[in-house]
Amino acid sequence: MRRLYNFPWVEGNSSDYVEMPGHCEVSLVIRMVGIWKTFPRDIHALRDVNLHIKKGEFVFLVGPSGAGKSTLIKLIYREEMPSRGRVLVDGKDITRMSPREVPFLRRRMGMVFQDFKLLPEKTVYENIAFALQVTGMPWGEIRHRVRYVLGLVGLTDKIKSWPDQLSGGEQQRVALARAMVRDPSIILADEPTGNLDPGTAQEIVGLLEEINRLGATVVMATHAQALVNTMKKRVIELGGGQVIRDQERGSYR
Amino acid sequence: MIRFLVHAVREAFISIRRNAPMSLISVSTVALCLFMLGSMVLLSLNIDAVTGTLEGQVELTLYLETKVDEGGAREIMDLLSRLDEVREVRYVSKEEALERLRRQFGDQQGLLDGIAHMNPLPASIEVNLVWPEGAGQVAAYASGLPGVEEVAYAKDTVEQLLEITRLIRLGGYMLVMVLVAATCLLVANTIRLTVFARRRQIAIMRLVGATDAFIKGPFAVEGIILGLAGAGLAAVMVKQVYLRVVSALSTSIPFLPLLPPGAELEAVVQLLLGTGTAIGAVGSVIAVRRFLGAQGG
Repeated sequence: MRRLYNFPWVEGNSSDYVEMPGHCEVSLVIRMVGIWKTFPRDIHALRDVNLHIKKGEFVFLVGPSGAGKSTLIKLIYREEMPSRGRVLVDGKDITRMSPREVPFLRRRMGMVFQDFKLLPEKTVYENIAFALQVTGMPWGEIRHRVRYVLGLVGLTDKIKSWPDQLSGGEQQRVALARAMVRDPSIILADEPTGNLDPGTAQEIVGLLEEINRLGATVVMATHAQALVNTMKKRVIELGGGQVIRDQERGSYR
Repeated sequence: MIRFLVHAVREAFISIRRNAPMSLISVSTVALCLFMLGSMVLLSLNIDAVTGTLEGQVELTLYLETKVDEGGAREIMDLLSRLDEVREVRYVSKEEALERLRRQFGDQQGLLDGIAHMNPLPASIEVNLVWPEGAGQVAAYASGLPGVEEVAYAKDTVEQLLEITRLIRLGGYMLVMVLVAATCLLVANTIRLTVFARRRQIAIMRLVGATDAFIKGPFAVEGIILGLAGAGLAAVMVKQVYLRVVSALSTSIPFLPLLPPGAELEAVVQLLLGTGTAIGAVGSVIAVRRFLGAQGG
């Protein structure tokens, strides 16, 4: 297997551009305390959710559609605010964060979605480079890094392609490359294999596992039973907006 | 900061190229709107000039009998100056009257060469009044003075003219105002369309941790470039059309006091360029902000 996170800039602290959180002394990377999320018309997406996710964990978030998986993930990158309760990332309460700080929170995370969320009017290279441009990194280092992660996901030859010229699996690998190009300590994946065939899905999860093995905390919401069952990771099951099961080395059911 | 600017400019050009059809639509919308705006401004400037000329014209002219020399004219002027209604009197000799006519004919003054040696124009005294209402009394008084052949007294005509020019002027201003509003709406709409087409792009940019300024920068630059391009096009069109119209009108109606294509035209051109840039920048930033604000965060 290719080695991920074997970046020359990870071992030392050579990078001034990516803000690495001081997660060494904080073992709880994500913590949710008494989370309620109520949408208009009294729809309770989440009711009293309490969660601890430790640094370096790989967590599957399972449950039927509408159980609150996506809402829970959106709370972590502050796309949504809880109606009640606190969300702590690296010990900091992000519900009290000012909107100006939100971009910097997101730069410490990598995100992967079911619909890939690539920019169709940018090439593969530009899509990945964009995640670094927002941090103000010099273009020389950007080029270096983008080539590196593209090699890691095995798409070096697609560097100048447009997203719609790629297969679903390839697009998701581009998205994964974009997610990890900043060395995030947290990877959030919302049904990353939902649009992919089982073989390709296995590949993507394999990459996520590799990223996790090298130190990143991974939270993945999924419906893929077979994947969850073979991986034997921590499984958190949501039902009706509540945590109904939290099991180490668990399975889908 | 420099890297940010370079990024914004680069992204703006890439985006214009990749969205060429939409960019073209934006530029032509801006160009068309600003062309109409510029034309209206020039039209109302000219209306202003014409009405100003008409209003500034003398209200009473005393044509003198040919036997009255300049000394005799001075005496009449002294008498008139003592009247309260009179603000200013001015003697116009035969030669000066001819010279004025010559100037009004402009390029075609050759037409006057035939009559120059005999000069049929009478000498006259022009009277400016303090109150136009006193024109009747002054006219009656002046026509009784010896040596005054005729008093040209066009009170009704002047007042009607003033009324008409007032209306024309008002109409011109209103037209300009309506056009400015229409321009803003049309341009804002075009920009909203282009940004709407890219709301997904904006959402993804926010997702990867782009600050609002970083997202707005390229859009603002793009707006400025498109606005400036449209305004430049409009300026060229306005200039060409105005030059042609002025040269056409001044040959067919030589005495119409049109503004020559000088400082005013330049000012209009600058106004168009400024407006185009401002509309482009402000419009796109406002449009982007709507999408930035639409999401939580």
